[in-house]
Amino acid sequence: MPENVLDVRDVTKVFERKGQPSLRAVDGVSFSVGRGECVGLVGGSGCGKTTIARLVTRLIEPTSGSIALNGRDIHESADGVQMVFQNPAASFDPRRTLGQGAAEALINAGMPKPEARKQVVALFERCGLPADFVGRYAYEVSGGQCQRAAIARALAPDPSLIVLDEATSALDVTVQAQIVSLLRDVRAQRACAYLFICHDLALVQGFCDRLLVMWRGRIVEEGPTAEVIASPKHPYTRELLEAAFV
Amino acid sequence: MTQTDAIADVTVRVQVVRREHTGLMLVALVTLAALIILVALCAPVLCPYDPYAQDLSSALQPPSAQHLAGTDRYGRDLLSRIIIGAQPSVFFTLLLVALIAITGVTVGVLCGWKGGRLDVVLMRVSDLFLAFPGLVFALAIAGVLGGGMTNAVLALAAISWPKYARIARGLTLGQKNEPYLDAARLAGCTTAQLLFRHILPNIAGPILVTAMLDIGTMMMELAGLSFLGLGAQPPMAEWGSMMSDSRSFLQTAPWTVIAPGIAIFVVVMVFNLLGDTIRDYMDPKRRAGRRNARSE
Repeated sequence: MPENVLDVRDVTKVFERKGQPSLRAVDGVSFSVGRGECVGLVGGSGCGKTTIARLVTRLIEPTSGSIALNGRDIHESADGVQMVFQNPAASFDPRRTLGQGAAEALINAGMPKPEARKQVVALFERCGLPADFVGRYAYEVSGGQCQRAAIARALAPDPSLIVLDEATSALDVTVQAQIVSLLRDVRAQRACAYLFICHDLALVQGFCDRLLVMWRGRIVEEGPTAEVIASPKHPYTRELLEAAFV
Repeated sequence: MTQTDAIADVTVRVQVVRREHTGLMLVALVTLAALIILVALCAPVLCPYDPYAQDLSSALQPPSAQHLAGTDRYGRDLLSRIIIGAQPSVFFTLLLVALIAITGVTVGVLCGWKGGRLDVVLMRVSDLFLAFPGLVFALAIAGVLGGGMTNAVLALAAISWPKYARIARGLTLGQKNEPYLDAARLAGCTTAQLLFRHILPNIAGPILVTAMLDIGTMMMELAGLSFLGLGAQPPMAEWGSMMSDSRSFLQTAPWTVIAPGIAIFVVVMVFNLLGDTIRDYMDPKRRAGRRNARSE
């Protein structure tokens, strides 16, 4: 078993735009995520955080550079990376139930339906949702409940890495705390690594082992969370900290 | 109770009444439409006379107890001909609407999903069809293909699919960037699964409503083509061609024209109202209302 779950090497993503100069959203970024590690990725709006999330989950292809999962190139790797999205309700098909959404990956992988359903119920209960929530639609449940279902969905294929793209930003503070504690529990149990994309430094501080600070498509600072927050080196990190802890 | 409360109360009551009204209308109209389709299905059994049997001795008789809708110039019973005429009208119309909806939606979803050059080319082709005055173009096509109901259906299909392509394209574009599609991709869905399992169910509502509204229009246009001799061919009983056959007797034996005219009027109106009611029923505002009611 390789030491790192995720290795991103020199990845660049350029978006070609009509009538405008092309946009270098991610510019020569390298980082890795260790097995069972929780890595925070912080930065302002438009700095390329979400592009990184989409690259790592193979929703888009990098312009150059390589991404390896469990030591193998991401294109050859059998197990994928799962993701929890910012807006929980929009991340479920409005015409399908939460349970159908969560079971989709299992069924697509060839698991028989009754078995998939059983597993989804267990996962929902693991994530603090009553079993009957598998039959509900995203618009019938609250944001926090929906995000719990989204976490259950992400856990279903048993991934070694989950990308949490602003997974708590759309929730109110108390619900946010509940979701973070659920994520913590899950991690303690499953040795699943997180790439936690966030702009709330206070939240990152208590949750992440390591921190990456992104600014204009590059990673400008990297280190253990406590260290980065205690003695920021890059001016942008200092700016972020000042904005967060006034 | 303050004045604003009273106003709010009245508004709520009006909305409730309207909602119940829509529900009742829907039930009534669905029943009527089902009845029409049932009549068309059982037409041969329901006809009191053979709709094709000529009896020149009793030609052009006014409505009587014997012939409820009168007879035409060959002495054929008009009521029987109207009942049997429901078959081409209803079935070819449903066939036509299904044909244009499926073709249009396929093209539209493909354009919306793929984008790029394919989208540009197919949408310009659809513009081309939209640029012609519809029925005139259909006349030209039917004229080239020759008479017959199948050719009339093809002619009308050729001019009517772009509407569906446009609607489906727009709806697909609206869904394309929804996060739930990314989630489905991460669940390992293939493109076909994304389209059939996720996109199609989510865009089906407005398309269904358009199709329902189109049934009445298409029925009229088919009857119109038949009236002009480009649809049903004699001796086939079809309402449009029946009106056309008898139009020279409008002054001496008006029932020969009025009877099939009423049949077209009633059936088209039922399907138009049904389409309208379904649209009201599926109104996004109402759905939003239901959603809020559920989440609270």
